[in-house]
Amino acid sequence: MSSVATNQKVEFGRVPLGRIAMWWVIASEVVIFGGLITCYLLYRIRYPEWGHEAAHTNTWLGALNTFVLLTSSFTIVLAHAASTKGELKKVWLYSLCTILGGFIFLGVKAVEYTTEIHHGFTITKSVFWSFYYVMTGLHASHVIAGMTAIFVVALKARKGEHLHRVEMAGLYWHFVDVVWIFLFPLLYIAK
Amino acid sequence: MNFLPENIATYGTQIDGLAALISWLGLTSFVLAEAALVYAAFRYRRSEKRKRAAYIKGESWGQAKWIFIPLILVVLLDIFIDIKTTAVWKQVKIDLPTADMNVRIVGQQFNWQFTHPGKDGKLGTEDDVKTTNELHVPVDTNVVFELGAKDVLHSFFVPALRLTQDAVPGRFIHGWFNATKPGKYEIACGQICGTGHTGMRGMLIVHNKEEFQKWVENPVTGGSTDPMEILKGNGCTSCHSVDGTRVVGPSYKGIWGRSETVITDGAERQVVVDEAYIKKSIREPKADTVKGYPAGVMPAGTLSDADIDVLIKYFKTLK
Amino acid sequence: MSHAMHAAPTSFLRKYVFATDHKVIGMQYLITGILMALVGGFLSYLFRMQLAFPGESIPGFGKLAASQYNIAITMHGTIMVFWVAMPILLAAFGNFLIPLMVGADDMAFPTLNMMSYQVFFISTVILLVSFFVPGGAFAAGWTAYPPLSAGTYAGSKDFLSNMGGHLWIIAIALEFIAFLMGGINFLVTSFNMRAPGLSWFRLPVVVWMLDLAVLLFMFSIGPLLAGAIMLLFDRTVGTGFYDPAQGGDPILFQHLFWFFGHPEVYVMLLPTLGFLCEILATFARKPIFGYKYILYFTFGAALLSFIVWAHHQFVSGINPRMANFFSLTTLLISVPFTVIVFASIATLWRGNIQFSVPMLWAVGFVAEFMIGGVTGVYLGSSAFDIYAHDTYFVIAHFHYALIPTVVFGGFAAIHFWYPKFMGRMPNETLGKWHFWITAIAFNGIFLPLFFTGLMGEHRRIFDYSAWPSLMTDEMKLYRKFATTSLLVLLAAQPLFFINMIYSYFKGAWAVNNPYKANSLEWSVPSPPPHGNFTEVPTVYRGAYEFSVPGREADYWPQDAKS
Repeated sequence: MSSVATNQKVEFGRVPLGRIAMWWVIASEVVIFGGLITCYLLYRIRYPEWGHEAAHTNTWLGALNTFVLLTSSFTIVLAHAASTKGELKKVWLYSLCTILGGFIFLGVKAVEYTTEIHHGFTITKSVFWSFYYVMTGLHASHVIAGMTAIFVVALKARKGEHLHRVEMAGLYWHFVDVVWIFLFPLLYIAK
Repeated sequence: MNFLPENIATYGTQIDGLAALISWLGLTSFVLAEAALVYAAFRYRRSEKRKRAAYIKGESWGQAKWIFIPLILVVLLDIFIDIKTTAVWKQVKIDLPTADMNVRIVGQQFNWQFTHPGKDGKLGTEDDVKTTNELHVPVDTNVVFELGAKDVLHSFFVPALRLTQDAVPGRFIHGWFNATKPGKYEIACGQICGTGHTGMRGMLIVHNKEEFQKWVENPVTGGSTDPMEILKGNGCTSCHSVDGTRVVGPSYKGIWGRSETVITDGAERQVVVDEAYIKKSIREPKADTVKGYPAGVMPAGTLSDADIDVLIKYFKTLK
Repeated sequence: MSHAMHAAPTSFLRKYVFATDHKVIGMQYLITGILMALVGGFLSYLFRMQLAFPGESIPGFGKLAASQYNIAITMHGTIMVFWVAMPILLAAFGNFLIPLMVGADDMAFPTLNMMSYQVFFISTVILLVSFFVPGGAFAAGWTAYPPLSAGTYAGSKDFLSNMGGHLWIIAIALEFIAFLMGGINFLVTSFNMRAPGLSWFRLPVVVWMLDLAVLLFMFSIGPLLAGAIMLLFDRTVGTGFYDPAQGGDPILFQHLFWFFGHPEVYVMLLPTLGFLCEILATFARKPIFGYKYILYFTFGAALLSFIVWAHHQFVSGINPRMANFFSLTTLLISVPFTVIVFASIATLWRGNIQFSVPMLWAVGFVAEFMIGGVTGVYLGSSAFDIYAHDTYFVIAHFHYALIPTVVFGGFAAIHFWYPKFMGRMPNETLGKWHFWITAIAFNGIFLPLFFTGLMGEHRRIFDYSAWPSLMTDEMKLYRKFATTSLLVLLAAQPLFFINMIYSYFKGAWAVNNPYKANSLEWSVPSPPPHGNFTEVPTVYRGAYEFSVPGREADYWPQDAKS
């Protein structure tokens, strides 16, 4: 049976579909992380002694991770630029670089967690550490999600399929980066 | 048509007055609006006479004013109510009068612990009078309380005082009241606190001034001869039934003289339920737990020997 | 960005289980919601029987223990809000209506839509499973305040059902995620797939309301999702986010909960306000009065809804000075809804009203919701709330707001769009009996509870026998009256089911536009075929051109050229 032109959503598209969807996802995540971060801030203001606890996070490793994420955000921008020009090999390459950045980030975090737990700073040590592990843990799970998304998109993109999705995955990755930009000073710098 | 219970608080009059104001304003607007709705619904029903609706979009001011003018009235009424509310709220919750008497109230699962200043009139000294479930105050006295909770959220609700304040573990919240009439008034827990929430009942006992002095000299609590009054008043019936049903703890039915397996310090042993065992179970509930029942749940009761005797007499009849 | 239209599915699994068609997904949400309403209703039967006849064996169940009572009230609230109101009003009707009303063949992301239902389905299963784990389902109130809900106090691990509570949190989190996934579709479809000529201000009110509801949900849910994760960690790992002994704060959870909880009631209300507009206009044969004002005031209400939340916490231990702010904003939030009530009355004014079953439910909604609104003033006033908080007055108030919203609104929508989606006309006689008995019985349940609340009856109590002042003959009578009314209401519901099922098989065939309405869903066959429209419609006017002077017909479909 005949049905209406299904490019309707493209033809009448006032805003590219994928972009609204991705902004929706990002907005909802902002509110989730925002809620967590606000709670942390309220507690932190009420309990200045958390500064002592925060002294035990490793600022250098945190800074390294910040650098790693920022670089990976840069590489995904390069991937996006390549996707608009149809340079499939570069799309694949830069996507892999971004994912590598994600792995490095996770690796550093693993080192941090191990050291901290080894020194007795577990999730139940104090509410500061509870927040630390929940916030960075939630963030890390989003890093993994982002890496997966970029990989899946890049697999198709290297064949020239759905190139527009590189931008969407990149948007998500930038969001993940921005959350870290908030977490870093809150957990590592404010001591 | 007053459904509110008797008010004995000084500020209760203002709270009731606020309710009356809201009732008058609210009821009037409500009746008018419903009348308009019902009228419109009936008057403009489809019928032989009525064949077509009017094409009214409600966007011009001439039409929309029918909504906006009543709306402005509603806003003004709301603001009026809010101004009155703020004044009453300030009196009850923000301003703390100079205390004629301080008390400490702690809610726990599932009873109220009250600490009154003793003969020295000061709270926090050796001679403080501690009671379970009975708050004793003199009439016409500014009582300032500090309210806390031991385990979970509770809420100190005294309908006759029109007073509610949640009790939060980890902090003490201050409030006050001034009771204007002697008598006994129920205290409820207004926040779900577990399985025993139902039975968590206290009593506010307002004495006239001489009687209160006498009570402070010789603080007696309980003294009821009715076993059910004691059991309910102390929250026992929240967890123990009298008819054999298992609620949280063992039922009292058939308990007297029964041979029971209990767990003491991790090891099982046999006991016979006698006067000594009952007194220990009430005053040190964590010492022995009947096998098959949850440990560490029952809070210590502060019943007097006289009260416990009344209970034992009653248990003997519960076969 | 091309995307081939899914070809019409042929296998049973693809058609009804793993469906991507918005109409089927809408039906999946609707049926799940109705089934869960039976569960939630059964729970209310249990606790109301216990309240009216304390300690007696309940027919069909047996004796209700105190711990079971707490489970019943907790799960009743949870189910009714998250597994009945939201799936029926928002998910089912959003899915049914939005693509059709904008002139689209389906939602923008049909696969994502399917997945949202699947996540929702899983959340439903987890919630139901929680009844059967050791210790039973969650029992700390649907509001789940810690420390009781966090199990972080001494002795608690023996006491509270642990697994039930963990599953509750997980089920709720999944439900939130399902609605976030579904919400993208509502917005993107409304944004991008409107037919030519269908500008925003020509859309039916209900599309606006559904989109706004979904936005409200998304913006308010984040903090609670964070808070729920924190609660789960407190329960399972032993963190102390809400444990004062570890430096945590129980009241933090209340803020997180109600920051969501208040907008949530508007998430439930807005779709019903949308249904109201469609139904009133159609059966009064008049344009909706003040279309733009309704929209603007609703936006205002949505914004305002983010700054009223602590009216649930006046006596919770928050800084008393904060209460003044929230009291003012709460009293003011009545304003937008007053506009809508007045606009509804004005829509009927000089109309040509036919009291079909949907119209009965719609007008009934306005009449009853007003009671919820007016009684809200008592509670929004912080000083009176000192007394009324956590009494039955609150229960009566919110049921007078929620039951018109969910029950009256839900039945109105189901009856109104039944012909469109089932292809048959529902039975008017059965519908009318169902309406009158339900509407009258509903008042019998909750009116007495205002009075018992004023008399000091506090909430979440299993048995009032320990309370002499609450065991007066008058109060016992009110409780029995309320319970009896509930029995009557429950007894009337089979009329609805019989109507729905019988009409599906034996009802008169429905034409495209049985009510002579204007919006685009009425321009396609009943039920619409796969892909909805044979060709993309063009829209020439708004959705409420009824009784236009000079036209013989008293309606003017949006896509009619002349």
